[in-house]
Amino acid sequence: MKLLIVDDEVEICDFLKSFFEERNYEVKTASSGQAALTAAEQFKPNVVLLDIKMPGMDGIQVLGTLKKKFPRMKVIMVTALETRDKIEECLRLGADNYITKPLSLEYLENDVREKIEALTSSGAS
Amino acid sequence: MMNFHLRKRKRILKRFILTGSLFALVFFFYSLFRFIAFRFFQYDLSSNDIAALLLSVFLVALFYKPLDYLILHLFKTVLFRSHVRDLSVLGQLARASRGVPNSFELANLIVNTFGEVLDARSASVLLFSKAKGIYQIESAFGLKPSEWKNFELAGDSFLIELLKTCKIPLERGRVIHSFSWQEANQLTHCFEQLHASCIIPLMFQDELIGSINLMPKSIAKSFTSPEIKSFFEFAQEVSGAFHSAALFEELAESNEELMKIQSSFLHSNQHSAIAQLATGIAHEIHNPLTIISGKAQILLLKRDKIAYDEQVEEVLKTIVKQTKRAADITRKLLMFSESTKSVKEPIDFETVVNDTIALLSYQVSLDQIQVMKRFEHPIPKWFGNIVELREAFLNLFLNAVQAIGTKGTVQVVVRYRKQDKMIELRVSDSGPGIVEADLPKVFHPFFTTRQEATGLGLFVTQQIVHKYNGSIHAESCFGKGATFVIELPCEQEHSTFASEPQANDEASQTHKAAGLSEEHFSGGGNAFETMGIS
Repeated sequence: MKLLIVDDEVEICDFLKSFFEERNYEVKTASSGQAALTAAEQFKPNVVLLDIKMPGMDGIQVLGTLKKKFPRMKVIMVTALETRDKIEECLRLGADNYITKPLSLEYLENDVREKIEALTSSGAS
Repeated sequence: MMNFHLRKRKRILKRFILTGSLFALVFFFYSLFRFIAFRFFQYDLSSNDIAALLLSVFLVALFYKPLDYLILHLFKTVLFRSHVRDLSVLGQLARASRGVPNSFELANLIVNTFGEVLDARSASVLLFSKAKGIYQIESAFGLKPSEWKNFELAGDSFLIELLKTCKIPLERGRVIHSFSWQEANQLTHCFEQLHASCIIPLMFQDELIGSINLMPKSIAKSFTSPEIKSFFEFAQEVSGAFHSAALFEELAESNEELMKIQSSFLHSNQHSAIAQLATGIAHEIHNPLTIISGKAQILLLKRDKIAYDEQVEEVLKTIVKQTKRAADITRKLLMFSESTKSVKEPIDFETVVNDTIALLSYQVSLDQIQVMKRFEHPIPKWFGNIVELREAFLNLFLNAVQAIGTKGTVQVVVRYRKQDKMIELRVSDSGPGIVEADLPKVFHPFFTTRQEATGLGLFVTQQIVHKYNGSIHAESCFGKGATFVIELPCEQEHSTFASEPQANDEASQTHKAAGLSEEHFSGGGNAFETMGIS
């Protein structure tokens, strides 16, 4: 169960990393869009937690590239912005969920687990 | 001319009366002497009456001055009494006119004074209308509306030009003789149309702003030159008032226009500004909030491994809850600023109200708060966006709950008004109410009287209600709770009546699922449904 966390706020990356590592996930973090793409190539995560507003390449661009290159990769948008336009754009680009900050960790963990279960069941069939 | 003739006639009459009285007096004294001589001296004066006659004439001559004066006085007070007009009223009127900021009221005041007090048969006020570029009658006394309502004079018509150049009162009788017959004809026509024998211009700083047009009751009561002079003086004084009234009206009009532009500008501007602000705040604040709340959650999730005392757990829970509240501010801002092409669907008000209250009971402690709901069926389905309606109602309900504090009653009433096709939603609370001075401000963004509140709830609600062409207002008496009333237009064509029994069933199921105990007060169709949460 490999998880990539992308957020320009290092603190957020850190506590999410420790939270998921405690729950036996293999976690890598990236603090920019560019770094996220490189990490995704090398690390091949099952699930990506992706922030939208980042300096340089933003989350929506990353989402587009990731979904094109790795269609099976699950991407959960984790963001402070929740305007309807953004939500619609993300869903159109193939985001698997859209979660707004501040996060409920229980909800987030459930969602990640769900996505992985979906992956394994579809991979098995 | 008429005045001149009249004067002459008056003078002849006066002479006639005076001479008559003198003769009568001479005869009276002569008879008196004869009577005295005959009665007391037994002497008949008829043979020698020249002396008596001379004596009488002498006596009468002595009385000539006082007699003349007496006759003049009688003349003035008895025979031509009404002609002596009390012009002091004009002075009062001129003073009063300064405080009237409305041309129509001012014109009314003037024509009525001339008509009622100064005994004119007809009086009218002609005023220049800047918007139309013509002179129109503003108000008239003694004329039928049909005679003056449609009367108008162009700015370059003969009468107006004449008034502009000569700048003095025009008297029909005098003026006509000083023009060629064509011009005189035109003028006569104007005088006829204005039902006037005398036109007094209203001049303000060399500008003709209009005229006062007067017609006396009868020729005998026509205006004298000094009177016309004082009318003109009055006109000069009052034209200042007309000028400022016109300015005031113009100002009020352009002010109104400006307000309209400003409000629409503000509205569009407000939207984008708040949207930008909200987006910025959302990002800048949500990240730190995420960190705070996230770390607190991590600690909370570790409570199985590490034994916290209750106080620490409580603190952590509060941190998570409060960060969520802070995030709600920006969420609400975003919600409002989004110009969404929202999905509209037929909505059952009862379901929305029930669901929202049920949902809320998880978050807000309704321990001692009694919620009474009344649905006055039939309520048609309302066509709109369910998220927005829920948000609007949620804000009102939350507001009521927070106003109450710990113990009290919230009453929710939904009914459909057939006469104006409106759905009315009333949310009343038994809280402290709203101070009168605060009532107009409750819908302002960021206005709040509570420390913990965002001040955006009612604002957002108002925006939603206005979006659906509805209205919202607050009714409150300080100390007696407050009621918020939303009225939303509900056209029957878009809506169907909800089948009532089913709706009721669903509603009660929702409540049971939410773990709420319910009591039903049955009392006909409009029973109060009480929800005691304990």
